[in-house]
Amino acid sequence: MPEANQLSPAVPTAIGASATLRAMALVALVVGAVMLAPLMLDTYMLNILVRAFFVAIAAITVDIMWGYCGTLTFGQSAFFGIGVYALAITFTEYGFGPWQAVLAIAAAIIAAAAVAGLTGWLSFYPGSTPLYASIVSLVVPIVLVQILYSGGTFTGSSSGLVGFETFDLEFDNWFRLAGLALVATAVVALIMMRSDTGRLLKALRDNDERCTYLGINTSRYRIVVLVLTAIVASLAGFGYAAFGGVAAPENASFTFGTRLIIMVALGGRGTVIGAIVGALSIEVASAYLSGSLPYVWELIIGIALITVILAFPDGLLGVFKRIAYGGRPLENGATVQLRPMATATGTKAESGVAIEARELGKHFGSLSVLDGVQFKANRGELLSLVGPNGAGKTTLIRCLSDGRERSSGFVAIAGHPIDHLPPSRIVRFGLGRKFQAASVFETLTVAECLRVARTHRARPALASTSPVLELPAAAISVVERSGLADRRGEEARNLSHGLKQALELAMVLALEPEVLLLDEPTAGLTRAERQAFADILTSLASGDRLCILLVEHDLDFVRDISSRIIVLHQGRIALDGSVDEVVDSELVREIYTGQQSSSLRSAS
Amino acid sequence: MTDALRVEGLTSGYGTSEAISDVSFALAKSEVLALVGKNGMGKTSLLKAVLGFLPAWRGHVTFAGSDVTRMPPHQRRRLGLVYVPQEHALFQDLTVRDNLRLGVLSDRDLDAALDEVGRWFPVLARRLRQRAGTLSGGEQKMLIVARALMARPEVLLLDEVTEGLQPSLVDRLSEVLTRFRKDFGTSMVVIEQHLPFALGIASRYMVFKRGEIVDSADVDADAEARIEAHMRI
Amino acid sequence: MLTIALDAVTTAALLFIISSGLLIVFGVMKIINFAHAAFVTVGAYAALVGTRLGLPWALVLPLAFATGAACGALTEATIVRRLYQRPLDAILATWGLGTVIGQLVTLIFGREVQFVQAPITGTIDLFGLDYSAYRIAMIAAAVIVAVAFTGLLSGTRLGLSTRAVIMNEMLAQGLGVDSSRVRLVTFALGSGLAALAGALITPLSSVDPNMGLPWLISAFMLVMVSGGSLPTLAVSCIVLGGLQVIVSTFVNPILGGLTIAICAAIVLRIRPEGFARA
Repeated sequence: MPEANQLSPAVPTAIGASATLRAMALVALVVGAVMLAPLMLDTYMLNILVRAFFVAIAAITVDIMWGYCGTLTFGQSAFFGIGVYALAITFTEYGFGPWQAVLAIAAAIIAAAAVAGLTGWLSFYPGSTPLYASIVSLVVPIVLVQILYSGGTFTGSSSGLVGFETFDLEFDNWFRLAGLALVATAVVALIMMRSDTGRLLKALRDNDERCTYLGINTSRYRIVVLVLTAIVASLAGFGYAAFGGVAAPENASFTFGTRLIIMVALGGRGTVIGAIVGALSIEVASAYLSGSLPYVWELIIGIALITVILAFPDGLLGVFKRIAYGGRPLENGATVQLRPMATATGTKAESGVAIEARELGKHFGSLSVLDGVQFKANRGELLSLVGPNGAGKTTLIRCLSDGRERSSGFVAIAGHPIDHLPPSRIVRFGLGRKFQAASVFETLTVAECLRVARTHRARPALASTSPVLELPAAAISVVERSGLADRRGEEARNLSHGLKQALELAMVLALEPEVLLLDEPTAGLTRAERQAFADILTSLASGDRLCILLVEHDLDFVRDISSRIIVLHQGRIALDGSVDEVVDSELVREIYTGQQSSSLRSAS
Repeated sequence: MTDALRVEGLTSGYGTSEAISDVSFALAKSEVLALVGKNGMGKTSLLKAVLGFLPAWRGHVTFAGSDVTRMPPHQRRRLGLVYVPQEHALFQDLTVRDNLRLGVLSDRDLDAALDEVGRWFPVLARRLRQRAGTLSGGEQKMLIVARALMARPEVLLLDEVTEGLQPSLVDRLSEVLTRFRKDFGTSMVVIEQHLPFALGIASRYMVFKRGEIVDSADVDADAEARIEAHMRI
Repeated sequence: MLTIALDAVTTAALLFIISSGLLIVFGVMKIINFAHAAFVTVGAYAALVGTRLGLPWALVLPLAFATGAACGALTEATIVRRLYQRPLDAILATWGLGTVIGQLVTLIFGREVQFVQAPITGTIDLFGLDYSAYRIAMIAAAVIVAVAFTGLLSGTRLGLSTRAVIMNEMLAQGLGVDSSRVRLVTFALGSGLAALAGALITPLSSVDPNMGLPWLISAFMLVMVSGGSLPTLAVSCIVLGGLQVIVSTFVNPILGGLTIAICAAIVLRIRPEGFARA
């Protein structure tokens, strides 16, 4: 095995350091501008901007949910509204004072987190769709507003709450406070979104299923992100109400929720800065225009939204970037150093039963796709699964890797019964599954894809990108042999089909699996790529003692590498034996040429 | 006389992965061509590219004398290029009659066409009101073939029609297709694993391997042996 | 008790009329049309204009339908067609369109609330109970919509093509069905139905530029729960609409207004396929 760190020499960290310095200088400049701006702006403008800053914080939370995690959410306004009303109700009921302020903040945080937790439980579960999550997010502000309406004097009903005493600050200081809060939120958001954890969120957006099969509990991550963004939005609402001294149902409404989305869409989703640009420009423009041209202004917003969605999905920031950088790809992760792991994380058994299936069945109504499938496979075996189209091969793979798929029977992976567990749990028993069509994270770089694959072994950094990526030797070997090592800074969508297949295999191997399920890994590969694949697989089985189950159409390929072959025909195991026994059998020839013998017909 | 279908230098695939490379062939009027080769070699992809379901990366498809390379699939069907897919070829939840209705372009032609279907496959005529999904496997295949024949195609593309059929039905199918070709001069491309069936109705064969044609010749007494040599494990 | 039962059925009828157009669009295109509420408003204003011009209701309803269908066809051809690959963006673009239509209506007709006289007035004596005749007529209207819809889908060539596209678009194309035309017609039909619903509800509620919005959420939830089938939609309307009436009467009207949204969200959480194949 080649030494990986030789091929990826340590890169001088000076580049990273200078980028950090530049970023810090930029932040200092912005902070300076925020501190000085009140001296140059009139009161009206300050007033508008303070509100706009708080709204922009809420818009950033929408951007994180939508632009980064892929959930189009109409519900962030509800959390904003919770913050607004937490303050207004506390100060109205108990008056203004230090302990009341603490109580109000605590109420804002706890209520937002609780509602977000419930919303998250409703929205995100294995198999939920982005559309469903959107619809639920739509219901939340509507329900909240109706509750506010029916709250009587407690919530002020449709007229809201006014006249409560609140923090007494100068306009200038409000501006500085709100401005700094916005800058802080943006900096924290940017750091986190660019960290390894941020990449993980993009991975969820790109390909939820792949994440699940990398042992990541995607629903839990999404709920956690929702709760955190809800708390931030709630605090933004708290600030908004503290400054304005007013709480209105509109602050929590679905209309405001859509307005936040429009801001992000116009500014540019998935950028944080775009959310701020969109929020500030819409808030300021609407303050000036909605008075003089109330309906025309709404009309302009609507038309602008349609235009942006159709013509500039990346928003204003995307247009600006295209002009400024001319579409030059920004490289990320090219400096990441790949390193083989010092020691294996677990002591691995060299032999033993890796897959066990007993009386496995899968039925759709009266149609039976798999019936009475029974076999065992050991460590170190390279077992091929062959059979004509529709024999149930892919269904079998699915039933072995997802406990909720099979209709009957028993499956154990590496000695653990899979019961009705989701794939993310079965992966932790030592299962790795490679899909038929290369399933990677299209907008992540090669190195980032591999790091996401390590998530359940090595928790990704929250605030930084680690310069080193430790991978198991088998994964390193695939990366080096396929040539992926030289392209580790490139986005996966730019890779050739063959390299994507290799990347997915490396990702699965990064899980340190004991059992490897491969569904037609060589489809669409060139001859040279297939040969390389064959070499890798045989060394994984004999050297690393993996149990490999391979679905393959190409009998030539199967014959060259397998230690055993199972023939599946019409949902049943028709043959299970050594390569010679199966390849030379009359039965296989009959199945493949369509001339069914009487023995086969009676079996089906 | 012009060819019924001509394919020149056709290259196509899925995403970035190439499935067929630089394929050329011509199909004369009332000629039947057998397309053979192992699974996963790109035979179905070739048909999909000819039909327009896969975009042509390079090359041309000429049908009925005009270049149809950029024409959407439904217009090619309206010109008489008809496809019998291997999988998902039926609307399981529609009745047999509604499935057949989709075979003709206008309901005006339906009654005459149904009469014809009754002559080819009497069993279908008795089951018109039944949901297609409740038919047996063999009956479903007959329905799919009947729906294609009702269209009176100029060129018929058949993808693995004999898969899972019992021998008596294979014979019946062979009979119907041969008669249909004689009566209406239909040209056909037949993808088949079942060599005796394919060579029984075809006059020429093409062996496909990894997205390319590796052998092409007229069907004669030695054809089956030559093809098996290509397909040998 | 009888009043509640009648309220439940008439509410279900209204919900059905409004959500059926959304359902057909969702079924064919897998896209949620957020401009649906705006098309309801368009229909209501078409009815307003029609009755002001002194047209009989027999003409007002087709006028409303045609106006909505024309708007829908235009929408499909200019906006929705380009967003089939981006369903979440389609939600946003149609929402933007909804805003545009709402503001255009405001600019033309003003934002004040207006009223339309019902074509059928008075009450009907039903099992010894006086009940609004127009609300009873709604039940008939819902039945007519359901029958016409079913007839269109199962009886006509276009309906057959539409069902074919819903079930397997590629196979339909291979059989000569022009699926982009089917989409255009479907979208026009769905929008026309929204406008028809708008016209029908005008005598029961006032007409204002944002009148469609409150119906939108309930309609979405019903469509999601019904899993794309018309009979299931009818069942969902009766079950959830009935529940809404019961909660409004016995608990409180505001909670009643939320019943459909909340129940549907919970039903979908527990059974992602909703009421379909229940």
